[in-house]
Amino acid sequence: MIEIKSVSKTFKTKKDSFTALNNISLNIEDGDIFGIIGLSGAGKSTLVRCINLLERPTTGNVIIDGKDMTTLSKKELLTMRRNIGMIFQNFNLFSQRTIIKNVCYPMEIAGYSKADALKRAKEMLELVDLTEKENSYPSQLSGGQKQRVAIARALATNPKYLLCDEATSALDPNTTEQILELLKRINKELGITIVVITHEMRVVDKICNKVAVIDNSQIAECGLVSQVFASPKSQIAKELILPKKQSKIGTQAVRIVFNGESTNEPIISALVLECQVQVSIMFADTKDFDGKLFGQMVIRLPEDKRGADKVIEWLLAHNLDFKREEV
Amino acid sequence: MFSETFMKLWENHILQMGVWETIYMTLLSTVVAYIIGLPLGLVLCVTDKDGICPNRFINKTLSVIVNAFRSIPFIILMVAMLPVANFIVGTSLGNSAMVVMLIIAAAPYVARMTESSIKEVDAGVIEAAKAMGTPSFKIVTKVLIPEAKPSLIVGAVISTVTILGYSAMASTIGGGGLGQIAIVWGHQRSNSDIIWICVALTIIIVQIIQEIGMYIARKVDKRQR
Repeated sequence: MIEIKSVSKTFKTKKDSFTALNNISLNIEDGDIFGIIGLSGAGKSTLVRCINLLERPTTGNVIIDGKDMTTLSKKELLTMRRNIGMIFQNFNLFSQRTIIKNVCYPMEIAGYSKADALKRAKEMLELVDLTEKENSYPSQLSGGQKQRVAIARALATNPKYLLCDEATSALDPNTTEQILELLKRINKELGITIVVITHEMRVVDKICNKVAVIDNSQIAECGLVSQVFASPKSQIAKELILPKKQSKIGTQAVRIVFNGESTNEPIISALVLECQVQVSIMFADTKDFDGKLFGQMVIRLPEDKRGADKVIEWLLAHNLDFKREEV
Repeated sequence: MFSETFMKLWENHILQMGVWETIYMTLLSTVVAYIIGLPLGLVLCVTDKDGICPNRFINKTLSVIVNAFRSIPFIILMVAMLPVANFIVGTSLGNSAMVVMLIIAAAPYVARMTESSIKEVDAGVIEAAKAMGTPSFKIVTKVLIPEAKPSLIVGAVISTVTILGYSAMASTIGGGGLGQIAIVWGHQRSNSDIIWICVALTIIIVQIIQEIGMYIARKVDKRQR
């Protein structure tokens, strides 16, 4: 368990000082995927660095598994850090080391034998599905692959905790999805407690069970994701959550895929007339090539189940390629 | 006329000797300058206020010393350091004395080159190493030096060429090598052919050092595909 107890951090410059964290208290239970969300400059990166003491809190304590990080000796702190993996927005891999050597690094530091380190590194690369890249260098990898190597490296010494500092912010949506899936799997299968720092709502939405919203160096709101998302109380949480969430609540939809088989007949109007229901188009991207239709369209189903079933039946009857989904 | 002069010098083994002395002085001084300058540069970097073990006192002291030596023109430094050479190698003349001089002049230069190479290492990578529980000394040996290696090699090439230039200057006060041939045989006897032969040979040596060094630097750098 990670207990953050009234932690404050003030950066002093020659002329004035800047408060990055103001009296922050949080409990991160074992097994959590804990999201810390806030706008940039809110202090969340400083907060995560206070957990493994890359930044030393000005006041307050960070207690991990009963040990107060702020009172540890230098040596104890280094040992403790091996129990807390960390991944970064820019991956921070060693550019002059091969992938497998990158994963071996923390084990070299922790004093594993070469053979043990190599064996474990191979296992880790298997976990992140990059076995075939072990002799490549980071510059030969895509962003998503680099982050997977970083995850393998962070987990090599079998840590109990994993800190993710904007780990998906440099990645495209698809890759983000993959990395989030991987993090979720790590949490489930290896039982690693994960702290996720992000400014993206969907990251919290997708994997976290608890969330703390940080604004102006303070915690604005904290609790279960389901609760905070359902009824955000603070202004900042509302700003972060509601605009994207409003249109989404409980909407059933179907995604129709046009692959050139259906001709350019007016499908939607036919559907509306024949089923006697109202649907609205939420997204459409179709192209007409030689009178054949290609692309996708997402339509919202009627609220009542009977109407929705009618639409599905109609789509089946007309041999359209479609998928039900919740948006 | 030109080739005649060249053949004469060649047959009397003067040129071979000059080339050999130049290379020998340059390489020996570079190696020793690195033995002193590299750790110095690392200490400068590590103790910097943004370094891994900031120490204002050590950093400022070293920095002032390095700057002092760097700001003295080599020709003056050489004359001033003659007694030091005499103390270390027992003479203030000849190639061994010149090597001492070159080392004194080059070590601070190498320190600054090293410092700038090490400072290029991505701060994020250092942070990652810290987060993995790396002790400070191992950050230097396992992260800073390996990550800066290509840049350090480029620096070494530049330093070697600079020291080669210094070695020619050293011949004005008794050093050997191509510089001496150019000055004693060429300049003082008004034989411009000899000067140009020395110039050409120096260019060739520099080219060879440059090409080999850059080839190695490219070879070890894993950042490009």
